[in-house]
Amino acid sequence: MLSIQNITKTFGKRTALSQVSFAFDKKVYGLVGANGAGKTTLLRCILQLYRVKDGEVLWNGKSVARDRSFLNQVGYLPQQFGLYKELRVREALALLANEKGVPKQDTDERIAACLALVHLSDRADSKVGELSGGMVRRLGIAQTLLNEPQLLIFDEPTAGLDPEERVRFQNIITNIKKDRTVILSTHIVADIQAVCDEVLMLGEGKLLFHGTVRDMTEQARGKVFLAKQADMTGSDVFIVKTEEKDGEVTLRYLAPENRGGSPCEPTTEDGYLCIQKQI
Amino acid sequence: MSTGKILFRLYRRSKWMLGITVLLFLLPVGTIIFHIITAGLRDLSLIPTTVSICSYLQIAAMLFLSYEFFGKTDAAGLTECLNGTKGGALRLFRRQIGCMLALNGLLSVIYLCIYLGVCAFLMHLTQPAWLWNLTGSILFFFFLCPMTAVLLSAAASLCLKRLSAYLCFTLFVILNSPIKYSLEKRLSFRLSYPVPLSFLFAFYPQNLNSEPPAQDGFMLPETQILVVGCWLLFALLFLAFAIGLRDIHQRRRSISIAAICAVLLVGVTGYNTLPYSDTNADCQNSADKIYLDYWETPELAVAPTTPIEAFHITSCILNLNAKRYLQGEAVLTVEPDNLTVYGFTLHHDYTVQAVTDKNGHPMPFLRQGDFLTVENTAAADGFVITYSGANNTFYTKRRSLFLPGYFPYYPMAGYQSFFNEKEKQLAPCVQTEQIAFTVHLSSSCEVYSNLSETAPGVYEGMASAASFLGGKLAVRSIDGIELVYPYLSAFVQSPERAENAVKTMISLGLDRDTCERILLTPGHLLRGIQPQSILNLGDHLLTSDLNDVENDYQKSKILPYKVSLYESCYIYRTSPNTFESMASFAEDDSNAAYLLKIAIQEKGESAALAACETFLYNREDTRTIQAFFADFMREG
Repeated sequence: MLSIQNITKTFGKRTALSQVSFAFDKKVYGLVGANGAGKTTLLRCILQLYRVKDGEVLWNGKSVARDRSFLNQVGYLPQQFGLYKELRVREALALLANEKGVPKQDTDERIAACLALVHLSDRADSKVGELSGGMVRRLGIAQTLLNEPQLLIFDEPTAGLDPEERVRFQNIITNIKKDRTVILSTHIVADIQAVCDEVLMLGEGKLLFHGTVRDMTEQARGKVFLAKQADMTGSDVFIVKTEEKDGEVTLRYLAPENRGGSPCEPTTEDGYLCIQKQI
Repeated sequence: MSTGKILFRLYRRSKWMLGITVLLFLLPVGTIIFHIITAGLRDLSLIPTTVSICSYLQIAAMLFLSYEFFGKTDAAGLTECLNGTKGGALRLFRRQIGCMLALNGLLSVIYLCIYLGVCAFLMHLTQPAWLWNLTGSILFFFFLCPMTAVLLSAAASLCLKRLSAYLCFTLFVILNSPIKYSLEKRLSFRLSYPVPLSFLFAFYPQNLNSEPPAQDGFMLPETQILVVGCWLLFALLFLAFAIGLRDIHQRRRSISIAAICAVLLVGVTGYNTLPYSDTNADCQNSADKIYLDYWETPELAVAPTTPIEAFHITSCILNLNAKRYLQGEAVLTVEPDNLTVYGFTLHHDYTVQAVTDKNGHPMPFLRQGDFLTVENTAAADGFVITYSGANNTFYTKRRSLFLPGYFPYYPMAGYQSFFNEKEKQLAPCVQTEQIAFTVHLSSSCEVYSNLSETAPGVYEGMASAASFLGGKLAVRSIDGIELVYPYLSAFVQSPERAENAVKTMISLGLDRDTCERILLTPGHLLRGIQPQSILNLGDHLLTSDLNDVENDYQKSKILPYKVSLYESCYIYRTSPNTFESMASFAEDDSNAAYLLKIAIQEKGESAALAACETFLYNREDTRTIQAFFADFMREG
């Protein structure tokens, strides 16, 4: 089981992470936050890609600082992922399987199973260069599973994918999440809603919130309103959406109190924004 | 499927990389075809040139190919994903380096098979020492040098963008090409400071204007190996540094490796600064430097004005270390032993460290150019002279050495000028008196001498001079005379030429009881040095080739300074018109042809030629040519 304790990471004078602690369970965690909040930094600290001087990353109670063998139990899909275009899909996965320490006699079987999970079995002999962006992303997910890891880390896995691919991704996560810890860093609220059991929200390097998706949504209860622009009073509002119809502008906004209009049922996105904006 | 196999597939599926690699593999075959067309397979002399060029092309190709191959991981966007594994991206990087080294290994094996096959099966050259030499040469040029390029490229791929890397590689390739020699001259002239480009960028080993001595065998020059070794250490240092920058987990190990490489680099560089004989120096041939020294500083050959009395050396014990350069200790017994001042000749390239008597008491001495003057303050009957230095023509190296007895590489009795100022030519120091030589020679190559080898590395005998020739040599006994010649010489392919030449000399009077050995010397180094093609030093002959043996052997019977008169007589007999031109070239007593013409006019043709014949072949008659003609004209 993964646990992080008081992780602090600075780059020069800038503090990217500040005293972040959490104990992960066998669930799917959504890691959310604004750009520059520290999401990728946190993931890289967990993977020891950054040296962590302050704080600890523990795997099954042991520090992973000097023991890279913990990575044998990790599947990682970074934000920027690609494969050698000249290789065939099967060859590329075989290469990664070798690097992940998969026993040679199990390689072919694992590759076939992973390709089946991501619905790319029929492209096993295609060259990577012939695949679409979505297929390469799916291949990225496939490679995370080669070594049957207990911890899966995905950094912005659906960025740039079309809705169909995103749905496909969500289904894959649903299929593979059993008995695993999955950390999914994303901006896309729909992904969180669809697959995540819990949400961790980072803001300026700090852990602002952790809880279920419903908990995050409830953060916005009583703070979401719909009003005509003309009826608005006060300036401490955050406009979530603006609609214009027949010359009339209607605003959906977040505020600690009603500033005009009527309250609405909060969405997950509203909850996210309330926490981010500290409304 | 193994990672290596997958990486090779990755490599070969890049069309342009595959294309260049195929060309590299076709090069060995191309060189053999080139050999057959230009010189025939039995001529080994082209091999060093083709090896140089092919090695250079392989190095250049490896720089760019390796960079592109190593850069594929970053370009594909796979690096971070690999860094999330236990081995990290570095593990795959190491395998990629292994692939490139395997490629180079395969190329070297192909070259090795071709050259060993041709030489062993077609030319029947199967001596183990020779085959090891060829193997070492091929592995050096086709594996070690390209390996250095691969490692440099690996380091560059980790920390340089493509444009910067390509610029560096292009500069590296240019500086290692023959262009470096003219660049070096221009830069040194402009900066008024020697810029050692040709020394530093030693991957293209051959100076276009020179060729290594044949007894080096196949090229494996020590200085070049050391310089390439320095580059290899630098590449490892650079690579360790680049890895440390990239991968925090490798930082400590990288620093340790970089530190070790830095220490070794300093050590090897320091060793490389020791003096050495550079037979590939940038001159028309290495002999130019000898001339340049005398032209620029003629007083080097001018004997001191201190009057000295004649003496001779009865015994000469030489302790010589003849590896990278010559370190010598000469223990000389002289006669008479009661002179106050003794003058010796020792080439100016050797620095005299000390002169003592045989009991170790220091003796005052003065070094002026080629001359050494010693004050015999201790009434000693002998001296111990310690000296060291390096000469590029009469050289000592690990792989070969050439110390002929006419070159003052050990102290010779009296002031003998090694350079003829008038004729602007080197004048071999030929002595006639017999000396009891005992030479302890420490060298790394197989050595032949006119002296008998009484124990390993110990040469003894009575002779007028001690000559040593070392390297990849073979010996043939022809009618009781031993001919010592390099493996890489025409006599390997045409043994009957050697036999005919020696038999011709025997028919012309070569005494097998007196002359036991003929040493074939590096011809190109001696171009223009020896006025005679064959030098007779009593118990042995030195020659650079055996082409015009009849004429050359006759010339060898006469003292070198008389050669101009011999040639005048010869041309008078064979080509009168040419003789007229020679005689009218300079109508004064410096021109032997002019003096002969006057003598013929005054005394008659037969009398003049007969007198010349007697004078020429009498080695005891040491009158100058001018003195001889003056005496002849005075005779009734």
